[in-house]
Amino acid sequence: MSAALLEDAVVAAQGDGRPARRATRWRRLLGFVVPLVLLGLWQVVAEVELLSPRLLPPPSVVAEQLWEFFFGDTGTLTLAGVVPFTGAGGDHLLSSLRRAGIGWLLAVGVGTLVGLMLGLSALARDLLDPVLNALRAVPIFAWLPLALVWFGIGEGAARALIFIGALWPVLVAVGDATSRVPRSYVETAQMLGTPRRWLWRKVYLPSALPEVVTGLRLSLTLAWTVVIVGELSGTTSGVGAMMNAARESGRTDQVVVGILVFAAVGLVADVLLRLATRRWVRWADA
Amino acid sequence: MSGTLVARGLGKAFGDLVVLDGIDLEAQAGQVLAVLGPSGCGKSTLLRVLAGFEPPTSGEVLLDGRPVSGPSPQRGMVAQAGGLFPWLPLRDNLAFGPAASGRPAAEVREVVDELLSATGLDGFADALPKQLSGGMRQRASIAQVLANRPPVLLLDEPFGALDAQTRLRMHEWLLELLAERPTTTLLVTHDVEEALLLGDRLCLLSNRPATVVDTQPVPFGTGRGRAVLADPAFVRMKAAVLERVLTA
Repeated sequence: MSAALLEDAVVAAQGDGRPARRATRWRRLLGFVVPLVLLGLWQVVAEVELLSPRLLPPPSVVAEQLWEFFFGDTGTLTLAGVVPFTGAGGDHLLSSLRRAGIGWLLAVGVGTLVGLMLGLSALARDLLDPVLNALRAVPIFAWLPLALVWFGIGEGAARALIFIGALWPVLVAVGDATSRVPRSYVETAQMLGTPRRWLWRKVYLPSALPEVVTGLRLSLTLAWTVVIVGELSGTTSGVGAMMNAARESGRTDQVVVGILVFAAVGLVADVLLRLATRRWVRWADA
Repeated sequence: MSGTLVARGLGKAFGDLVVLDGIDLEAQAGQVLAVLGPSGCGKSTLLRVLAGFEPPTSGEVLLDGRPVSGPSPQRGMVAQAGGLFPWLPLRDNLAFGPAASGRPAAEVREVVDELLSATGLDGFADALPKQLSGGMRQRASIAQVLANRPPVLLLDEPFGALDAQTRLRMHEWLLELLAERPTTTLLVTHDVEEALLLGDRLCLLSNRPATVVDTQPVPFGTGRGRAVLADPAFVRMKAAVLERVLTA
């Protein structure tokens, strides 16, 4: 290897950018400042009773209820009606997660299949695009009455809504990403001797993956959003059902507990999905 | 030695637009044929037809006397942008060809290691293409194609996007590489200096629709380096050829 080649190897190795990375780490900590300040303000406002606890319960009470929700003794019933609160957090959460998960996976499966058809076949695009665009324009809430008629109040309607809500981002992302795989990648692979039946796994899939993952994340967020619509429509289990019951009995603190649980789960799910797919999409990071 | 690539009466038209008009050329086994032509004359189209990415409208391409069509590992092509897959680390990019043709893993590893050192990229086996410099990426792209040990190498302005200094270093590197592993090479370029530095023979194309205007030997011998740039005969030939390209 000649000295000239060594030179540009060294130049490339130096482009690692350590200081920039350190700065990002500090930036991340900054993200915690605003929530802490807001939390403080919230406590103060509630403490001096600027607003009635009925409208805005202090964070300390919410925290206590949050603890009760997950770890309270199931023997003491704090909520009248069919939807339990104390100690039922795990069950509610599981039930919401299962609902969202089933709807999401169904959307991922159907969305990927139809998306692939759209991405690869101009004929499929011409046939389906107008219909799909029209359906996509229907707000998710507009499907609610129909879902209730078809599937009845409860589980079926909730799943159907989650499926529809989570479907579009997957379908659009898969369709777009596969139709935009550069021709040169396919040509290079063929020139290097890749059999046609392998092009999928070797070229189309990895090339489309970053965009598909973005679609999956958006879709997961939507699935989690629509869960609450489904649960407010009359299930007896799930975090949304708990919140609905809490609202009916005037327990704002418990409603806030539900909001916190939704926020935390949404955040965690997004981070997990990002971590799980990081290895395959690292190359596309800016 | 095998690897003689011949184009016989090669024509290519896109609708009414005739790009190639009866191209006859021969890249002799183990030699470098530099194809020079005015910008936009259809040089890239010629190479894409030779590589099998585009079917010719007329004529045929022969490799060692046998007609060939469609892309194949037998005719490895490197475009100006290079052929690295951005999602694969360098090692997997180089292994792509041999692995696709089902070579055993141990053999693939051996080929890749050898090419990594031939390209001076030993320390970058796990780097992604975007982490490499332009020159490194082009060396890697050529190595990716050579991993299949093709009898014919097709280069489409592979150093066109590099700065002048890097380009000169790439020229010397490529000469060294081809000396070690003789491969019939067809180099398409608009850079006269590049053509004279790398080519054993020179093929001049006309403006579109492209035809072969002239084929001549390049008389500067093998083992050329930057020293030849100062040779008065080289300077004279460069000026003369440039004049012919500009008035082609």
